[in-house]
Amino acid sequence: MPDIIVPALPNPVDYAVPGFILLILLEMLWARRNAPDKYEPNDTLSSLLFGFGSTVAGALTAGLVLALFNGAYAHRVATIPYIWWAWIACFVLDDLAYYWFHRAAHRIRWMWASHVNHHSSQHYNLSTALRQTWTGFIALSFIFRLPLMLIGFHPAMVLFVGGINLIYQFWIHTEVIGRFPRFIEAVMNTPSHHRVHHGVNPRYLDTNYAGVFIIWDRMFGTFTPELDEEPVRYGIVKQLGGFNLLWSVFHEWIGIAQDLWRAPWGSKLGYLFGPPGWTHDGSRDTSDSIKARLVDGHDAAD
Amino acid sequence: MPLPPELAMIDWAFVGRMGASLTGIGLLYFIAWKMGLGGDPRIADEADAQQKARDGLYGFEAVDTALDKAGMSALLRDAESRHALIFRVGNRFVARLVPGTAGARLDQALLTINLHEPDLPPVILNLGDKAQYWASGLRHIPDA
Repeated sequence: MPDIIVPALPNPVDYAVPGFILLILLEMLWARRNAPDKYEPNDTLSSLLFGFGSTVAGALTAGLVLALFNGAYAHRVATIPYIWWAWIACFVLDDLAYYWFHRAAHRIRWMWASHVNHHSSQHYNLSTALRQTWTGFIALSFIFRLPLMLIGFHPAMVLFVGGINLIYQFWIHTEVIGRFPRFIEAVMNTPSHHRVHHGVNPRYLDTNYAGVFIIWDRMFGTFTPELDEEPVRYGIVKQLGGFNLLWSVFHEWIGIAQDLWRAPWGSKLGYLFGPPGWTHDGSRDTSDSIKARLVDGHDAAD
Repeated sequence: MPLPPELAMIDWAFVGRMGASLTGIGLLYFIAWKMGLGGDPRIADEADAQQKARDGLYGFEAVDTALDKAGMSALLRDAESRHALIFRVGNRFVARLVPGTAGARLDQALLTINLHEPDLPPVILNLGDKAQYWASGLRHIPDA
């Protein structure tokens, strides 16, 4: 297999961080004038420390992830050249991989234990975007990108477009922007679409998994529009009871361990790989059971 | 003077970025606090508490409701004698079903409920002359 020469690419997120801080500051100024309850200092601190810890955790596992990506690239079926159309193809396919990663992260408890960190704030502002997991490597999040290397995209290219994807997803975590013109809302993931994704209203649960392009949700049947008559309530089905950072980071992993300890042998795998909330005796709610009761059944939600 | 080998192994650029990040985090927290963001929301009335229980516990329909005098928390009961506790975290409210394993202590008008969750201190409700009635109700919740 021929090799291609790829120049050393920077991590675009490093360059975006000052912009993140500036935009959070501007949103805070907007909140002070228009809606002071949209920010809460302890919640903001918590979200930012999540982001800090995530960066440290990412640095600790970066070598392993890169080794795995290089290993996959060594077994590629083709060598995709380092030219302009490859960047576009890589960006779009990486976003498709992100969609499936994100969908799995909501539907498989092992992955949700990591991704829950991003959803555990009851606020939705730009600081929430930085509320990132510390345990993404343990949750095996990286495996969804491996097919890109197996196809033949160079790992450096995949990591770079992944950084761009992450930067795109920052600015959509806001209530400052309402909706864009219909043609943009039809194709792109927007603040409106992503507010729905962070919603705990029964009809909004487990929808709109897109990173950059909302078309994936429309294609795979997981799209739900934001309804004016149903304002989004944010967070998780069982909201956190405080701001203890370590509990916030690890609570679902601890929950898995406790459930595994107590569960009958025949149902232990369900607590690991079933949907969040799954129990062998049906004693807890999953997003499906909530939707069945309150959306499909037109109960209290209506 | 060259750095000792153990220090030369450290990625000082990364350490510098992390130091700058922590400084930025502290600054943003301070600014949010200084701006007075967050506010001081309270539970407005019984209907508000019931809506919070309905939303937070996905269909909990209260038949009886007691509000904390300061509006910081509320205790509700449904037709199946399940009890729901609403309490404030930051400037948002959280709902929990009260399990039979919860601790409840009555001190005149103050009812203290301990859900024994790691990140949650006991919730103290000032229920006035209703406190004894609700404390009695909590004693009859079956163990989860």
